[in-house]
Amino acid sequence: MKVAVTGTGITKFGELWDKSFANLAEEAAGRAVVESTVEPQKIDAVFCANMLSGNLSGQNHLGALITSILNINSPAYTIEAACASGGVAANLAYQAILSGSIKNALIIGVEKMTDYSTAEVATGLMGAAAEDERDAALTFPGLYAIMANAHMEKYKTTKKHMAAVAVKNHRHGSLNENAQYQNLITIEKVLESAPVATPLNLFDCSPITDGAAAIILSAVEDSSKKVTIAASSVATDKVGLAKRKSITELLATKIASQNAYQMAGISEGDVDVAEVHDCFTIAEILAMEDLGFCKKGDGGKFVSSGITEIGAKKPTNTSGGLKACGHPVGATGIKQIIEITKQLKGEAGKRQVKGAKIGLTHNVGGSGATAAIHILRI
Amino acid sequence: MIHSPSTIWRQSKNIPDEVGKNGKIVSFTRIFAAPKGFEQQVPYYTGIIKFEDGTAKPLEIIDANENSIKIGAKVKTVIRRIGLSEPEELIRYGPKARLLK
Repeated sequence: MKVAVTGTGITKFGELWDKSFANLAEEAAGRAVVESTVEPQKIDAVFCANMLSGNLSGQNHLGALITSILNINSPAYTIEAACASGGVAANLAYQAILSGSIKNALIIGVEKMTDYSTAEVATGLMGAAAEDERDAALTFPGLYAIMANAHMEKYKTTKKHMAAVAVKNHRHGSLNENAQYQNLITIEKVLESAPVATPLNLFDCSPITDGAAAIILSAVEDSSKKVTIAASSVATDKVGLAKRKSITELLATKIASQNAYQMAGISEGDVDVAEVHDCFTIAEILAMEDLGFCKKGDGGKFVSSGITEIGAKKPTNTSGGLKACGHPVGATGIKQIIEITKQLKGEAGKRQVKGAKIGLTHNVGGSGATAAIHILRI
Repeated sequence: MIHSPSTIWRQSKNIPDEVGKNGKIVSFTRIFAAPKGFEQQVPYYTGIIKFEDGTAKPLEIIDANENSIKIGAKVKTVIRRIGLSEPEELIRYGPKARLLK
């Protein structure tokens, strides 16, 4: 028995003022059910990934909210692991299917963020950090800025290296009709944008986004021509940066990815296409190093070399990543799995990576306290 | 978020141990987009401080400017007001790292 992605559904990502949380959930879940051959009544469990609904809108109890929309009575669970909620929800569903207790699971990530002020969202997101970080007046851009500053000092990484990530992800986003930003930008534009938390400028940061993404995972006997989960792995680390061994790497990413490579029986060199967690440009540089795509400290030069472009050796964030596709927090991890599924099935249109057989998703929670890795293959 | 009097009372008990400690800046940032309660301070410095006893903690860094602040610079902790309190909230105090000349 293998676990396959048998349905995917995604909404447009962006400032969707005419759509409510329920509208977004219904659209994504509905599309996943239609694409799949699984009848709604055959969905044995629903896993809803979300971080901020209770905090921003006062709406909790999201599992049952989703089953209400689908008009089914299956067990339903809400999963919160900050920005890694989607990846962690998929991991939980995968394990439930492997246990044999369920056959089909709907995993949906939904986030409605743009109804609220930047300060409200920034404060809400800081719920993923440590108490002493909130008292130190830190923000999420601030936490990644601290890592960026340390990386620049230790490895001579530059603001230009970081800007190259944003430029590349906007180029990829311009090929994705669901992306929040489909415009091209230049290195100069990133460097000239307003500072948010030095050394990070506005164009180094992923945006505040509304959106939903849903997949159906199913137990299958015949996995031919199906995209299957070859590995699903989650690891954690200290919530606060100051308590970690190093602030120039994400240990959780290293542990989760090493475990995933082992589970799938592959090495990092076998990955044909990857969706990584570029909440800030420095995060994609750290990801390249911690996933083993390049040597520790070489991430800046690696991303600037063009090797992570579509058409090059290591195409990364073909969806546009969090930077250009947008970052509706709970939906991001599921969107990544959808993007890789489309790539492996050859359905990625203008941004198709030719002949991709193995893909990886990397979803991070907080400043790196949770990392969820999925390896998919066809 | 409103901090209850008991939360503030519990945190305040640690203040005597947190004042007058010497440390160095591990890394820092200058924040231009602040969370609620800190908007009026923008732009301000904050970072990770490593103390002589080997422990590390995130703290706001005060009395610093673009020319004086750098990784490895020496700081000493002092007590300052933490953010702007809500009208129904007690005023919160806690440690900040003052850059040494």
